[in-house]
Amino acid sequence: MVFSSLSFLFIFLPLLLAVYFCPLCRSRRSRNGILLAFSLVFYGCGGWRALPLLAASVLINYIFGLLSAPGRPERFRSAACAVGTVCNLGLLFLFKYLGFVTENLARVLPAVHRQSLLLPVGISFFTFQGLSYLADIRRGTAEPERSLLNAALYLSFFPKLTMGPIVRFGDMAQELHRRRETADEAALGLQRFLFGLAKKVLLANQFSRIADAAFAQSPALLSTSMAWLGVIAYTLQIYFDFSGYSDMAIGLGRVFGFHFPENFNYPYIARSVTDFWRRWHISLSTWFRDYLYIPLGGSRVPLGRQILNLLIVWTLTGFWHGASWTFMLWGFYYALLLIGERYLWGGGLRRLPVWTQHLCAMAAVLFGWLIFRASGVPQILSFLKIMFGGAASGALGGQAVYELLEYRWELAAGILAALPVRDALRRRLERRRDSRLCAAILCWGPTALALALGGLAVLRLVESGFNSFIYFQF
Amino acid sequence: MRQIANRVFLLLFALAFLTVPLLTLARWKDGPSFYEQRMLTAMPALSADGVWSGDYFTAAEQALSDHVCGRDRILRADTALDLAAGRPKVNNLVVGSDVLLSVNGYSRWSLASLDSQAEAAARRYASLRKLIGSQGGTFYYVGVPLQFTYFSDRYPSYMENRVWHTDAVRAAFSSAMEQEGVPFIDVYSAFAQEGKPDYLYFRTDHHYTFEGAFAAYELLMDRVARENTALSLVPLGREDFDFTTLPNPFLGSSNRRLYHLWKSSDGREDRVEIAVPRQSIPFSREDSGKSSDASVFSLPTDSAGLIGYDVYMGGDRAETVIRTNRPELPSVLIYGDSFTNPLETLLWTDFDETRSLDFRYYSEKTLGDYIRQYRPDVVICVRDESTFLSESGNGAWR
Repeated sequence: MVFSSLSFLFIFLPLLLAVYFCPLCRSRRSRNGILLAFSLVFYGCGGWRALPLLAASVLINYIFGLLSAPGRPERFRSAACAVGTVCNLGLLFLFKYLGFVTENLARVLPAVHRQSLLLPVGISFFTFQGLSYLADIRRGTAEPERSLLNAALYLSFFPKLTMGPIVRFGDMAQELHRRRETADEAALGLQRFLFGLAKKVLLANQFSRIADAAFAQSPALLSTSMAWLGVIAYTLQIYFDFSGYSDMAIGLGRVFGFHFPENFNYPYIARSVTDFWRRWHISLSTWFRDYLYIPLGGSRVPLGRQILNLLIVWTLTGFWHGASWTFMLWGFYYALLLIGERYLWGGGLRRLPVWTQHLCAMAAVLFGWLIFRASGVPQILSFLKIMFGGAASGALGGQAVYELLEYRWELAAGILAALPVRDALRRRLERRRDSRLCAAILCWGPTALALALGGLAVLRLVESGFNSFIYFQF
Repeated sequence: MRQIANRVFLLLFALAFLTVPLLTLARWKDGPSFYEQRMLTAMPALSADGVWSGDYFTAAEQALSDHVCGRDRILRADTALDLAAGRPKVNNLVVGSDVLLSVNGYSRWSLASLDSQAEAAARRYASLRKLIGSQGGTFYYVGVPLQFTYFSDRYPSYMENRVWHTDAVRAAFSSAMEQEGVPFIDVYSAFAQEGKPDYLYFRTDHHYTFEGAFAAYELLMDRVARENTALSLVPLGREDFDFTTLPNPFLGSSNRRLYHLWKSSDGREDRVEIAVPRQSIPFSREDSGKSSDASVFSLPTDSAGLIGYDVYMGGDRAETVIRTNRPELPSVLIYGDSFTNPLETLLWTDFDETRSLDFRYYSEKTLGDYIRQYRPDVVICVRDESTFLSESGNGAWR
């Protein structure tokens, strides 16, 4: 089930709210039970065949979490944590990477046949949460969850189950036991949810139409302008798709008293690639930093090793996104850029005017998304050739004009929404809070806007069944 | 004030998100969608396999989307917003200032095999012609342009009108039919010679208007009468009919997809025209073997209700037989897609018996068997240009 579906909006969510806030179910245990049951239903709507895997993941992490807890011999704890980690990675490999590995092996070893299992939705997210859970317990930065119900809820809580953010156990543990659900928090959470829904349905889905048209076009017919527009549209699509989902997840969490960490911070205003990765998918980049880069030695090792660490971390970051060479290439591309920024051109870049820094960062990000979206290396090369004047069909094609005219409102809104315009506006209004008008806008503006955008999103949802999220595949 | 705003928000949210499911459930009704012209998806049957694979939930989501309360209003509002936003394409239609056109993708393909495909199609029609000849009849193929081809010059310059393809198909098919000796009436070329006047095609429907159908009828009957003098055909001319323009607003196939919201910039609206012979010709009508009202027009009961292209012959029918009991006149069999409908309302006046088949719905006999059984004097195939090379539907005659 996805948030941007009518069954979620008009059946699942109202039913959950009604049951959760029913005066008969006020104990923490029963409320957590309700959330877990609904989370399983949410996940089960993608097919019950995925539920055993989720259950296995929960049990593995629960049991090995208890076994890794302080109070046992260190070697036992380490071994338990290692076995739990191997189990988590084993499941991830089996369901996500087996097909890729056997397919590539079959190319060199004819005796090997391609084997693959159906990729369960969200496996990368809940596996990484499980891994961080075990690691945090082993390090002693988190206490193991003694209640299976709470451990299961931590790993399978529906708002973050399929697309993150990757919430560390420490960020949620306290709220599993003690949290306050208030009307104000619920209202703010639901408003955030509606803003996220609007980002997904009104912007991301529309940009996907442009991007899909560009990436599906044959190279002979793709104009330079359409190639650029396609990559720009994809850049906007993936941001609004994923940040929209994160908004919905964070908003829903808030309704039920949970406070998840932010996952995005206006990544497209970054001044460098390093800055971009501090703002994009924050829960993933910090996960890799804390659970892989730093354990590998981080930047406290000799230069050669530092570079190797960055290459390992970023190639794996790419591979986390999908079992394909283009994702690995994408990770490697960012490794090279980050190494370059850190050791070669970073100082020079910082001396440039700010707008030039933005431009360079955005160019790097755009090409990154081209690698990410392309079907393979030949398409990347073909796009690059067309983008830089080698288009057989010329610079300006009718298709680009059409897409620009068709989606001009979304493009304008998307560019504005990708910039911190809202924050600037709010700051300005807050400075004039004494004025009754400004105070009224501050109070009623978000409410009215959330309802209006939510209404528009529902219009679009009914109109179109086109609503699968990009990050679902990861 | 913030607290009040939050409470009001929660109230409105609850109102919307609780009433929609309740009203949806209360008003759930399976059946056709008027504007979309399709059956709404029914709730799937619950099965263990469906739940295990997730197919059940996918189908249920589709059913819910089709039945959500106020769906038509929601879709209409969405369409109105898109039209107001000035999008060049709305609900998969190119929205011009004075015409609605089909959307063609920005794709190209090789035309290298077009000649061979056209030759193969022409050979099929040559063998059909031979069969008809063996039963004492003559065969004519009437090729009709679709509205988007007819108004191809109305596409904005940045939209694909696919003229490169339709022109090539027409030329290849026309040439192949000539080579095979199959009488081919190229309506597009005839209309083009007249300068493609606007009134021959609807602006909001993919068919020709009654005037367009009448022009095609004149082209056809002029040639049939000229080449088959033994049949003693005296086709009725324009002066033999009384033309009436119906006052009802017209709901064309394209404007139907826009919830009848589109208005042309010049304020002119499509209207439906009909014509009846000045001298009354008594006739009887059968549809699929059952006696029907002796009428070739399905007229509205009042002058305000919406009417569509199905005014002509009551829309697409599997088999229709019109008998005028004038044995001195020949018989005709006409088959094809919906472009036959307004033609049939004119053709029957010139023949003793008029049979009409639409093989998208008719499956009792093959065309060959039908011809062998009824031995019509004239067989007319009417197809639009997009189906010239097609072997399916009305292209499959064996």
